Amino acid sequence: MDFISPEGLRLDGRRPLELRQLQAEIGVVEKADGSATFEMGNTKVIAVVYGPREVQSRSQQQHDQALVRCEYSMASFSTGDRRRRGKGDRRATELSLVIRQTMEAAILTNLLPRSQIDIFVQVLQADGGTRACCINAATLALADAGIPMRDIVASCAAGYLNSTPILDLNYLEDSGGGPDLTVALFPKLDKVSLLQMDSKIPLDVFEKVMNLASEGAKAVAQFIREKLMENTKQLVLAKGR
Amino acid sequence: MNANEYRTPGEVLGWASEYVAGGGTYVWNQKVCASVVGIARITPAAATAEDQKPTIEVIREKERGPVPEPGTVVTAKITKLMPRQAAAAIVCVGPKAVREKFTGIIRQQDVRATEIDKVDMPTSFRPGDIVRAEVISLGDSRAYYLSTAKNELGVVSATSDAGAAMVPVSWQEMQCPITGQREPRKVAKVV
Amino acid sequence: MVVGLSAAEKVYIAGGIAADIRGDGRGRHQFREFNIDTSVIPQANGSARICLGGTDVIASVKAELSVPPPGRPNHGKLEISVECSPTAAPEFEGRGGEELSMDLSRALQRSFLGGTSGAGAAIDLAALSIVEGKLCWALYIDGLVLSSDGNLLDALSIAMKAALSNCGLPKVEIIGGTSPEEEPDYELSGNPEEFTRLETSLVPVIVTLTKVGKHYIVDATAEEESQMTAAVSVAVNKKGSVCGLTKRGGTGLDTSVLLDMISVAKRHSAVLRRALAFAGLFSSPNVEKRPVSFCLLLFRRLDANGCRTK
Repeated sequence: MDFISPEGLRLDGRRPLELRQLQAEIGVVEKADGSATFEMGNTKVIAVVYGPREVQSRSQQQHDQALVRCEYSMASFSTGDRRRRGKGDRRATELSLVIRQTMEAAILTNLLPRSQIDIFVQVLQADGGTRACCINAATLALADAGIPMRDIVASCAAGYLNSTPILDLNYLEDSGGGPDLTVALFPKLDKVSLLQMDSKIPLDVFEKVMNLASEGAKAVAQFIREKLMENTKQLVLAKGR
Repeated sequence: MNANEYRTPGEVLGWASEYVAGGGTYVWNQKVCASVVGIARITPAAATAEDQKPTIEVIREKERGPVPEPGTVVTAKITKLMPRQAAAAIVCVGPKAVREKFTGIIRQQDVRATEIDKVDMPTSFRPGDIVRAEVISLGDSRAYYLSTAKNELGVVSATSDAGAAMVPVSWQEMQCPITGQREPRKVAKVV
Repeated sequence: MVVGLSAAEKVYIAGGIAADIRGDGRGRHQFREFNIDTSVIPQANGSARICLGGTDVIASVKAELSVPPPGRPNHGKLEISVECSPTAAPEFEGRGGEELSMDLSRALQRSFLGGTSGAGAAIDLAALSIVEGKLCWALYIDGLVLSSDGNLLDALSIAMKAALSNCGLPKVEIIGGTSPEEEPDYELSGNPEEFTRLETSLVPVIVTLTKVGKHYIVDATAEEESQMTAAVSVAVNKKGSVCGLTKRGGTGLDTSVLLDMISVAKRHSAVLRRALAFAGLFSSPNVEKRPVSFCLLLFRRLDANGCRTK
């Protein structure tokens, strides 16, 4: 199947090195300590943070750092074919773990001993790149909750189809059989926090794809920073100062 | 580094050799970085301070629920009486209502300032009483330690057996306006 | 995250309701203002999101081709389920939300699905049949609670009605195989302009009346719900007939009070339906599925009779 037309355009009209349209909104759930929605094209995720609060089950309490927990769930209507998903399904468990570890690396957990931070991610629409979108939404929600972080985490996926590295795959491209590489990084510290890839590619191509994904993540990071600034300014305005 | 600018986590604010890292910041590789979203402020060091470096902090705009800290005065409701201590649920920190559950413990020796060895818990508090107390320490992993050992601290509101709000008559007694019965309490002198 | 209400707050809520002015300034029979977005889920055939105060729910309708249910060859299928996301409250984590989800799904099924024979269902099931005994549409209506501040059932029913009105079924062309022996052979029309809309005028909306103290209120917030003694949810359709009834809460209700509550619910449902029909004017299951947002700010000033109050 041709994923890139002779004119160099992808199925959805993007160029190979182009991100989908990004959209974000902060503070969508009133009762929560922090919340945000993040959209990458048709992929839409809502993340909510409760905490830092007292640890719910005492046996899990850690006296020198915060306990970070994460639950990933998919709405039954989020994918093309409707499927009811059990909460304990393997993919969900794996993603919960991945998001938790990535976010835990960013949070200054040693500042919040004996407390618990819950991150809930709910996928509303899945169109490729849910992993990256969840991490971006979680970053915004954590920042909204005011949880101290080393740096923001930004994530983006990239792939390699028709001998071309392409950025931010959608569902069709994702299921195209090529490699799918998701990277999450701390843009200011310039460190990679998460790197996942399936299928196989030669090492020199890997480097190209990896660099592309990192560039994408940096662009996402810029977008996240702008959104956070905008939101803070609005809060100041709302206070009337 | 420019003060009064909006900062997001990870942004470098200055060198750790030139500034003291205040709230909302951390030090990484000798650099002071922001850890929350907010406005950056620089406060010059106090004239008496040994270290003459100014402090950088990042102040959040969104407010959180209050958290009890040692030294703050809280309002709490007595939930359980034990021979040597009373358990209380903290409802307010200063003038603000809390958003989560915090429990406090008033130990026998922290009830009043004098004759602390002769304190009898049941004649000081009853479950359901509203007390003003000071947080003396973060306590153990379960509860904050509270103290009412000051004149202005102690029971501020209590109901009698008849169900009426009682009126204080002395620093150790309250009276029911319906039955006229007096009940012992560690009463706060509300100022 | 509500830390149990204090005695003073309980008195304040009950007193406010008795005095016909609630904590947020509403009268006993006033809804909160709400916001409906339609076509929010591009992958669904129809969808709607409603924000009612702090309550935020999404409903989606997905249509799939299926085999008619056994014993009813000329009927389609209709299924309803509700999920409570842990984003609404940390207690819904893991299996924590299941009990509430089941409770809400059952109440909605009672009001929307009719009897086991399919008689009295909100959607004419015969209209979902394509080839008798062989092919029909199965509609899956899914509700998702994203944020909860009371009155979930009403919000879900409004969202589901809006999603059904927003739903477009692609045209199915039967190529062959209509005789009883053959397997049906069909083709889905690729032309997005060709779709059929569902007849949704008889889909009910649910109005919940919550009894606090001596009085009952509509559109209770989470705090008000915590003080209820009983609640009655009444599903009413366009004809004014009661389609479903659910009573919750421990205290018994006098029959006369119950009848009175039903008539009040009927009045409110008429206002809600009018608002929804108005919102429907601005949305259609169009090709591009662009989200249409419609804010019912005016609605707040409408009383139960649909008149504007001062």
